[in-house]
Amino acid sequence: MLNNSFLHFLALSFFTNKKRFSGILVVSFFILLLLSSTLFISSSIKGSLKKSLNYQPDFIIQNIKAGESFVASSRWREKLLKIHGVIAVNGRVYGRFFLDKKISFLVIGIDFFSKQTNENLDALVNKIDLKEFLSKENMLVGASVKKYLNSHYYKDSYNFLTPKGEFLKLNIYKELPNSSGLVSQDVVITTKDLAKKILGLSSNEVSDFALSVPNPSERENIRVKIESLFFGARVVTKEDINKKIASLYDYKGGVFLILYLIVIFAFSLILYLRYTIATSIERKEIATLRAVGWSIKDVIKLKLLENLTLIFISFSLAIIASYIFVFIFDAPILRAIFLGGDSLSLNLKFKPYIDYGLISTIFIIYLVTYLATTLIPIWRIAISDPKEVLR
Amino acid sequence: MIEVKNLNKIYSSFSGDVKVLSDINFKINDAELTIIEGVSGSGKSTLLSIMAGLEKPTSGEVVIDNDSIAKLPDIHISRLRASTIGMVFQNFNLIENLSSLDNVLTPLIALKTPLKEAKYLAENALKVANIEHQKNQVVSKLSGGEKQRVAIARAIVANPTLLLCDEPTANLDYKNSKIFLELITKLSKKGITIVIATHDPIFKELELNYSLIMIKSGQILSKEQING
Amino acid sequence: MGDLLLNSYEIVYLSSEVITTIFAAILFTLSLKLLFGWDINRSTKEQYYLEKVAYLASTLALFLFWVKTILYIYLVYTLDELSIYIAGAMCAAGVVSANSYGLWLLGIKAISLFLLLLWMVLNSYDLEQKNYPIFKKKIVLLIFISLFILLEGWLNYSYIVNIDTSLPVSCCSTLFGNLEGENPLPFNLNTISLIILFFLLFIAFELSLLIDSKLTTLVVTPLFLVLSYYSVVYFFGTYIYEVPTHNCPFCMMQKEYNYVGYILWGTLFFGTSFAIIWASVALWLKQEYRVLKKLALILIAIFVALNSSYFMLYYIKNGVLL
Ligand SMILES: Nc1ncnc2c1ncn2[C@@H]1O[C@H](COP(=O)(O)OP(=O)(O)OP(=O)(O)O)[C@@H](O)[C@H]1O
Ligand SMILES: [Mg+2]
Repeated sequence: MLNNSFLHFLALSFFTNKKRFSGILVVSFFILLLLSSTLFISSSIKGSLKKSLNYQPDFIIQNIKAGESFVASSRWREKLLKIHGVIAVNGRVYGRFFLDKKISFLVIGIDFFSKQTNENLDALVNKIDLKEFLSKENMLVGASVKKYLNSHYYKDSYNFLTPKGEFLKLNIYKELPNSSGLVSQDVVITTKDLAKKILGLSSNEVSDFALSVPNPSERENIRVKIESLFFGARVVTKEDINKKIASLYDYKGGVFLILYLIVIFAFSLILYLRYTIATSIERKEIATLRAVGWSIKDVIKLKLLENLTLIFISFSLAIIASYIFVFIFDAPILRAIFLGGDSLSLNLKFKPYIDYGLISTIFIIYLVTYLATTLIPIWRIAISDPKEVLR
Repeated sequence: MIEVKNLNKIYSSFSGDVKVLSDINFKINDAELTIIEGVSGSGKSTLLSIMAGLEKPTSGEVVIDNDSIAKLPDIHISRLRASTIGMVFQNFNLIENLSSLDNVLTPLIALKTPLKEAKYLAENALKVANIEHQKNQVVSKLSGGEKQRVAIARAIVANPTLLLCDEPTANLDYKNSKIFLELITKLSKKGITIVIATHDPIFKELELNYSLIMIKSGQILSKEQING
Repeated sequence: MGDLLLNSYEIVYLSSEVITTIFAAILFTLSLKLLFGWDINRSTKEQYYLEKVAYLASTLALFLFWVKTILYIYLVYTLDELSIYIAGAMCAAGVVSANSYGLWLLGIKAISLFLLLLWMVLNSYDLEQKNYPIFKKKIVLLIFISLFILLEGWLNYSYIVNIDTSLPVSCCSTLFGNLEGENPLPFNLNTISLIILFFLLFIAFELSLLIDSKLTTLVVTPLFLVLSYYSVVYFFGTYIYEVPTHNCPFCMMQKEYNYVGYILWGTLFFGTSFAIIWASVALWLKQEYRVLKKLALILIAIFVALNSSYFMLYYIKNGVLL
């Protein structure tokens, strides 16, 4: 390759015409940086949600009244356990505790002595000293909650105002590790009994049931059976949730993508102009090459390779830069746009999640628009009459 | 052998048609030296560029080695320009921001010569044109005479059998013009067919046999054989 | 359809295909101009200009070939991604069968890639000659190709718009498996004879190229292509998946199987295409493109070696066959 005179010339024309290329390089770098950063963010969020979803129960049974989910009676449990194929039924207690219209905590009550339905939680529970934790009214809080409480001078405890109008004071036992990502940012974890009090559930009520159905082929049958057995029961499967989340974030990413397609369209106009109004120096250079024996084909090849090199350089620079921007600096500015003003989720850290499909997606849009806009202008330059230019 | 047959060239523009060449006929045998003389605007450059395949004639043809070059597909005529026809342009037409060496390489790149070999050939050509000492200099920093020599080096780098020179001495002083004459003599003796378009009387000093074609407003006035 | 259309992959795929369709339309009009305007014996300005237009046409063809190849791979990848949205689909197979356009789309895409390849070889032959000997013929082919790509553009649209996420589709095991006990193999072959035939045809293929027997290549290659499809789906595939009943040409393109399907189908497609193009161009124009022959030899060798390695590795690891 080092002995290829054509590539030698290609490199030469790159280095001697830095000015000619740097403008396009900078513009495309920034457009790509924005595009890939937003897509990185959306796929990172999707990635961590998907990961936490893997630990979700196979089925969730909710009680529906007037279209909204409602508390379920603990008595369902026995009936559910009797269904063939269901091996574990767990009444779950969780819900949003609203401090004001905007800010809320996700309160989760768990049974510290049995295996958790969520493996993240399992790992967590295993790490704490249960005796000490259960000896007082303690809670574990997520990073955002901790931050919020700190800023409101609740250093080691918080008084929950229950729906019954009583105050319930819980001590902050520990802050949850940040590793669990987006989902654990705004949670408060405590025992089931305390959680029920905070959320206003009576002792024989639960938020919903989580079922474990290990055999996938039985799931459809069981879903039908449950829905006929309980009036008002809604069955949500893991796949349902997966689909919902995926399409939600695809939607967000998709909207951004459409915006960027518009930006890229504008970019292609710039490119088009750049090539149609090629500088007289460039025209003369090509006419000279044609005059000394380059064919139209050779010139097209040179220009196409020039473009491809530009595409590769700007693309790889932008991907590297946006990786650093999103995963090391946590995407300042952009994150606020993407996650909305939701203050509690703002101090999450994006988990590096490289999605090769996504990177190739960015590459394909860029490559196709770039080549499509420059193809015809390149041809025009290549066929221009050398004699006309060199006069 | 080169045959120019019934060549006509008309430039059409908004202001009307201009007949630049009319009914040009001549033959050049291999290894011959031909000088085309005519005043400015007589159509010398146009004739040479049609002979190099850079321009299409309005009618008539130029036949080089049995091929009517206007009819040749672009790939072939380009290959011919890169390998068998060397051309020195009136205003050099070098790529200004490249070095002399890289300029001389350009025809070889079109011929897909490997880089090492190409560099070797280019340095050789620069040596023949007596400008090797400036091989790494950017062309824009060279003097007129030096550019001229780089242009010659580029024209001969691929060992062409035909060398077309358009007003090669127009930008040279007397001393450099003499050097150019020596070079032409050397190349002609090597058996290269050479065509020079000029109105510089210095070519009378050539110590070679050549045929002289006089043109005026696109027509051949006379053809004669001069023995130098 | 609503929410599906906002999937990033689909947006990018469709908008890129819109661009290629526009270029195909340009190519179509250029080719018509070339077909009716071209007269090599005239030395008019128009003729000289058409010569340059022919370069635009070949540049567009080159562009279409590369972009279409990349988009083909990308389409299959996208279909795999979409399979999570569609009830019943486990891989691209289900998504392809979501409506009747899917399979047509994949087939027509492969054919237009093949034709573009053929065209590029014919074009380079034509340009290398001094008098454009097959100019009109190659332009007729180009018209045909651009129509094909336009058709493909319409199929792209019809296919994606008509994917109904709420309708459950079949998964690959029902599409390709032999659940009903019927023999899915052609010519009533059983698996052992299929594999023996596969290897025999492989040897015949490589030999025909090595001894330059073009006619044999033309006969053997299509047979080898068909048999390869069945061998991969019904025999080698089961070793890739390590499940005796898993018969699917699509699942092997997933990450779990290291995307090996792309390499397998890619080498098979290009290997057989190069062989056919080499042989037919050599027979028709008496011009041998040795590069094509070499590539065909190597690609098909890789294809067979890769398939066999899955089979052998399984045997070495487990000591039994499936
Ligand atoms: N592209 C063109 N369009 C119109 N007229 C042209 C064109 N090129 C050349 N001419 C005209 O053709 C005539 C011959 O030009 P040409 O350059 O061949 O002359 P020349 O003999 O080389 O003159 P000089 O000695 O000044 O270089 C001139 O009158 C010029 O104006
Ligand atoms: Mg002149």
